[in-house]
Amino acid sequence: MQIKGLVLLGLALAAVSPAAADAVVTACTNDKQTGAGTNLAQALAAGGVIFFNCPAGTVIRVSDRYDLPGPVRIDGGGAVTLDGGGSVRTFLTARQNIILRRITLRGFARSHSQLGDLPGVLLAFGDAELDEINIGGSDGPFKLLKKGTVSGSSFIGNTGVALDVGGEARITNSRFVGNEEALFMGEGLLRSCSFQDNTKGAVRISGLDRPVEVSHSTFTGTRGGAALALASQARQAGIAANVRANLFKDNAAGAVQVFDSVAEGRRFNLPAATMNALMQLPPARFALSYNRFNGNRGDRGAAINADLTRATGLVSTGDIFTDNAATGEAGGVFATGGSLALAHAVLRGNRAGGRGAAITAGPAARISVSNSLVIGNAGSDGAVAGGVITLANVTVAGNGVAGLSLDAAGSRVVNAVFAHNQPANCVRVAAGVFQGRNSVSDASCPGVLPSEASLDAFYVPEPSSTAARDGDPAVCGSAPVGGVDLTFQARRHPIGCALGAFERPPVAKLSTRTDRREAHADPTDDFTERDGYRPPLVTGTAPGTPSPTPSTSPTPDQPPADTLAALRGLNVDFSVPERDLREWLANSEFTPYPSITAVLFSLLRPKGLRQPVFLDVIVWNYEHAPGARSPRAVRDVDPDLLKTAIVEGYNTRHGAVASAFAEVMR
Amino acid sequence: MRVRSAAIALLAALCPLGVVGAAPLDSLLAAIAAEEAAPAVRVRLFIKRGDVADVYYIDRIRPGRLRVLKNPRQNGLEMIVIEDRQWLRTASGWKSAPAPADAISQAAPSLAALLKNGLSSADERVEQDGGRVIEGEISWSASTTCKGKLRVRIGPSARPTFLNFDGECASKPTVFRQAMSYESGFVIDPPN
Repeated sequence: MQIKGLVLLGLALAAVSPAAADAVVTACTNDKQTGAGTNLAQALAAGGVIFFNCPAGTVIRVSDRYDLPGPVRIDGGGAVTLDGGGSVRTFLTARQNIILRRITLRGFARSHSQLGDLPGVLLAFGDAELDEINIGGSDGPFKLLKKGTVSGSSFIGNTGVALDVGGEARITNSRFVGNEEALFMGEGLLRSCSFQDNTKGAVRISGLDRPVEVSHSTFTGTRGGAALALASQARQAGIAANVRANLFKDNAAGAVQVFDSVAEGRRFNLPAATMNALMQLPPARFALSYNRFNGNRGDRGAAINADLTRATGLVSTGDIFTDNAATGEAGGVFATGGSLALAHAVLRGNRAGGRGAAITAGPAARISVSNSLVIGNAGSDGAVAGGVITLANVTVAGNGVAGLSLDAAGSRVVNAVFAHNQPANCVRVAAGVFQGRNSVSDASCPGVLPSEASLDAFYVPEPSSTAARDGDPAVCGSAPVGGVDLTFQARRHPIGCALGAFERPPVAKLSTRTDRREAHADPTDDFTERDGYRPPLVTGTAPGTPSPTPSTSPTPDQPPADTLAALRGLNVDFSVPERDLREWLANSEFTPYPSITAVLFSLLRPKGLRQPVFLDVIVWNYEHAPGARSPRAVRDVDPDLLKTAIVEGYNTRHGAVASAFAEVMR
Repeated sequence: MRVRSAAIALLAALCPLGVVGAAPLDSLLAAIAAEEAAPAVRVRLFIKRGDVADVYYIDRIRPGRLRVLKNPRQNGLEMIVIEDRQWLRTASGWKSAPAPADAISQAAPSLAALLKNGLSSADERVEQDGGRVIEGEISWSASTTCKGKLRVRIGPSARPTFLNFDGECASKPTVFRQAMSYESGFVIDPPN
């Protein structure tokens, strides 16, 4: 981190005008302090790089606002607080690029103009970087109109919107606590941040010109608005919002909301011209994956509340929904107006006062659920409820509410297990909804004779149960089930696969090693004199250090079409929609797919794997390995960790017990 | 505690019995002394004894800061020493304890004595970049007996940059490689 910091310091210095001289503030009481030394007002007038030669803990009272015509960097050195006293409005207006580093700001207020509210601390017309700053007790402090880069910063107890980024946002390793609204942004990146106890919603994302990624962040205790609100439309066609590996916990007004800008505009009585413009915006796509939703509450759709009327659709893969509660419909997931696909999901212990303790399909929604568990939910009208719903290889069991409650035609249930839902497995389900083979423990689902699936403690059919082999292999082998089960174990039996979420007990996923012998290095840890010193890749103490990855690996930006064909030749396929995968493979900035795939080629060529393994499962295994970081460059990929991920994916899919990479190679 | 040369921990294990030409030995001792005096050093160390391999990453900042990572890709040991305090990462988190006084230096035998007694048939050559390479036979006995070939490269800055031992200990094939960097720009802080 230190090395990287110095690199950034050099870039920062290069970004300011070479003509501007450094200024050192030595008058440490207020911004217009008279007498000896340089005060803040004089330093800001000079522009350039501004340092402070003040004792640690210095508080400089600010009494005026400053217009900065040239590029500026203000470095507080971790010792200085600038205090607006609650009366200074729009402290800084930066006409060109600005960097704020290691400084604390407090007590600044918004100003009001004919153009609207202006921020309390900084209105930036150029690119802005906030690095290790603390901002508190201010009113709508930051409005960054172009690119905003924020790292290692804290936004605590501000009113209004703490940070508003109009251009590309890159927000990392920062925390937002107790603000009214934490962050408004469009395209870009939000990673490894925490949002806690914000009182009018946490993050709002809209106006996408390019993709956005929200990942590895936590959202807790949000109230007054959804923790993460996403506009259903973008400014450009084909734009995706990726929400990955986040934790949403104990948010009081819903976790993730996809909102319709047009409907919102109508509520605010926007002018007709504005409404027409909104209606012309193209739809966005939403991909949620491997998030955890726990203990969230809301009126409707406590975990996901998606108005997809003007969206391309929402795909949720591997998300876990537990103990969420809605006063109205959908304790877990609600969708209206479009297509929502849930796969590899677990919905457990959710509650709703209205329809759908776990899932509700609202008006004009089409919800597909596959390879998922819906268990132990409670409510008044159906664990899964509403309009058009497709369930394929889903286990709905042990809910304190009817398993399925429908109020529209067009639903389909196949290869499903419905067991011991109370008071019945089905309510208002028409004949013809249950198709092909299913297991239902009572006679409430039209067209299905009662049978006992004999589920074990993990809701896996016992081997002696007919449910273990009654599934239609054509369903198991095709979309959306895709030849795998909830934990991506293969469903390959040619005669009959298992009904429900699991093909067989997920032993490999649930078991833990007990042979805790010391792990030693292997030959790949060896090096030569030519290699010389290199820091360990795993701990990453020196970013940017070259890795021993073979230089012959394809570049991460190799065309995805060629990449997919080449991967197939090595027995690497995929279980996610091809369109999504192509997008991920083309995006080395936001996804690990290009870099991991490049190293895969170097490991697997020329022979390839004995049997196919899913690329998305390999990536998932890699990213979730202890100590692993999601790589964005080939040099960041740990080849041995990747080998382990491949072997795990191979064993899981094929029920194998390979322990070494060589065993899964041709 | 006093943190001695990271190279010593290694070379201390290597060494002694034999005669060496004065020039190569002097060069080697001077290089080790220069390495000890360096304000910061980072070491990458690979040891394979028989079929068992371990890799270590050792960082040292003078005075009194040391970090050791063993087999990091296998989630192995991590230890941090800062002055008189040490931390060890365990399965249940970091454990803090007083650092034994002079623990590292006490564990290291006299390097000079080891080299003087253990290095034989040493040869030194100067390379184009101003660096030098010293190669020789080395043998020593501690809890077990080792013998083999030692190769040390000394960089233009007169500090060792690479050491290689290839031989056997207790009749087991043993190899050892150590690369050093003297660039600063890293920190050693107590764990969070």
